Amino acid sequence: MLLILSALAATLALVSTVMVIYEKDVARSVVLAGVESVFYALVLAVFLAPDLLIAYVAIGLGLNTAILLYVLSRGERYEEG
Amino acid sequence: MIEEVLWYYIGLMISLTIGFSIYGIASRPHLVKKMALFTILGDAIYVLLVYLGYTLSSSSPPVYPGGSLENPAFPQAHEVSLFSTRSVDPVPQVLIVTAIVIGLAVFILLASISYKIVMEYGSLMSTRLREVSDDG
Repeated sequence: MLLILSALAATLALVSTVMVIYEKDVARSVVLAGVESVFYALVLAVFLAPDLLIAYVAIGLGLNTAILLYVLSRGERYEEG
Repeated sequence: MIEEVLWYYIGLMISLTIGFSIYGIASRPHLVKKMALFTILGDAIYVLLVYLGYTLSSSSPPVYPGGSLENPAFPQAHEVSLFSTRSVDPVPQVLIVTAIVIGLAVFILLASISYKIVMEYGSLMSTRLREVSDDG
């Protein structure tokens, strides 16, 4: 049963990766990258790696999103072409 | 049967995520989007390695359930070998805790280079950067 949850989370991580690629608003794609790391944290919890989960949620969801939004605040927000 | 199908399906999904993120790094011009996809690529590789260390018969994290501090339990050799059939492989997890921290350091290096670029040229699009540097 837990493998079904893990398969669902891996599928949604793939979907959010594709949405990051084809999103024109870069701020929205940064938030989608954070959502993708939440789904991978679910996969790590199912695969019995709770020590990785602690480090991964703090870095992947908190710190990466903050740094990316800080760099993005200095440049243009929308990607064209 | 259904577990084996789900097992290969998860591996396929993680591999497709690696492929899509490499495609996105190569094709998208925005530097922040390139960095976000770089972190996704690293995370997918970590999850793939943890996935390889997991077995379908495993049911506990790689921590031996010992006794208390006052009354420690020292396991015999056959108890350790019995425990290793029920736990996941600890080696990928130990390596990936280090790899997450090193990936964070590489990511901060990329972010600082992008910050220098946008302070110098005023743009984060790599296509527009080529026009700016050609003009002088």
